[in-house]
Amino acid sequence: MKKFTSIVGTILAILVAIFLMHMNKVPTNDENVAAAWSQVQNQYKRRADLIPNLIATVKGYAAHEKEVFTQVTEARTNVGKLTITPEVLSDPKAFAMFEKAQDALSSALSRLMMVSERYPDLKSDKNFLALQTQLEGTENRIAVARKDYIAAVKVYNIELRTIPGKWIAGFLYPEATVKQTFSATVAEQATPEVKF
Amino acid sequence: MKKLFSLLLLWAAIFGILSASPSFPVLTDRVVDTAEILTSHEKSTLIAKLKAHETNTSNQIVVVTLTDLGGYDIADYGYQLGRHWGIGQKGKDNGVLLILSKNDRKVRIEVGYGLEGALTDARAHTIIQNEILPNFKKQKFFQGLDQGANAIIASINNEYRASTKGSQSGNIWESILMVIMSLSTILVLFGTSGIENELKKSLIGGSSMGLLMAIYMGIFVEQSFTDAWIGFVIGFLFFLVITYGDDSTSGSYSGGSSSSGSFSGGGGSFGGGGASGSW
Repeated sequence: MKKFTSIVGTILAILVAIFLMHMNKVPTNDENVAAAWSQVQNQYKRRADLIPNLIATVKGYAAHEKEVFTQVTEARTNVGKLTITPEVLSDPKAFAMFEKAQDALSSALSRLMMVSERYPDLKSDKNFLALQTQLEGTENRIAVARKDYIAAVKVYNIELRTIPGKWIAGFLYPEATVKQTFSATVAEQATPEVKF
Repeated sequence: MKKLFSLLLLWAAIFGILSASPSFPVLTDRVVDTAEILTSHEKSTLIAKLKAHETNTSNQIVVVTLTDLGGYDIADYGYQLGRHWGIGQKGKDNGVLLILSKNDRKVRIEVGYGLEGALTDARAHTIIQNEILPNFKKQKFFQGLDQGANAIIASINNEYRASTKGSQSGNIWESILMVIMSLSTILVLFGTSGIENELKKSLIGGSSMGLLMAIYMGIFVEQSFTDAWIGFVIGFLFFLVITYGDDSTSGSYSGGSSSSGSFSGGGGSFGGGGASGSW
């Protein structure tokens, strides 16, 4: 009998330990996802803020490339229309729209950079060089922020979908749902080829 | 003892496989010359300079030379290396990496979060174009790295001051943890002292020790399941070593961690700031 109680006690202790370990995971991971997400938004915002200057500079040397300018401006307006709060991260539709708009801006921007390759005077303009570096740096930061976000969401979703966490979350945090993440690989969202 | 050692190796191998990222060189000092393009004199000159700067400002600058990037983009590699090593002080994130990849003919200044304001991408780009690349094109690698380091130092010199020693508040938790751990070790040791069978004693003691460690690690340190597991394994092995390891061999591998350099990263983080160039 004594043996039986000690076995039950041990199992109970292990169960309590597991519960304690997972108790705070959903809110903790949720905060991490929110932090990673705001970093993603910051960097995308930073890129959008660079665009007016960039267009103005390129226009000074290549005024007749109107098509590219409208593409970039349109893509930027579309991006500006969307703001995603952390609550909407669980909404696949809104998230897909955000991703699509940002990807459109990425490709419009890389087209703009490709066009500027054709103008030697533009390429040696100090202002343009600085903007180009900033754009490159921002694209880097976006890539890093996206990767961090993907990693944070992975941790969060695994907690919600695998066994001890799933039960504990269902019991303590029934409102928590799986979060959306970037579907495209980083390579797919290639940085505009910026050559020096 | 041999069995224990192979168990350790097995665990190391498993964790090695699980954490599949670019393979990073070991952080031995402020200059890590994997590509072996610096003489020992040049190395020590650079190290002295970077060390003096860190003493004054707490900014950590590390110069790395690589033979190649293993197929990674240098920007992608750079921030991961910076995070892996934890260059820069925790909370300030004031680390800078100057990375040279010999076979790729690429160079990058990777800037930690906390210095992105002082050493902007445009500034990093100018340093690479004006100080580093002209030298690299003439195969003068030391001059390039040295002048690059000077320019980096000049940009970030006024950003941070070295803090007085009392600022390590984050360590309170660690010391509490250490006290709890040592207390429970004594408790477990005491509790199992009645058990005659050596193996039984180790197993029971090890498991309970491991469970305790797992709970501590899981709740207090990282709140993650893997860490709890690592805690369990460490606790288990630790107990095995202290009960089984009264023979002299037990000390032989525990001292392996302290290598020549007394330098380590302060726990800073990186977010992709900086600039790259190639020659």
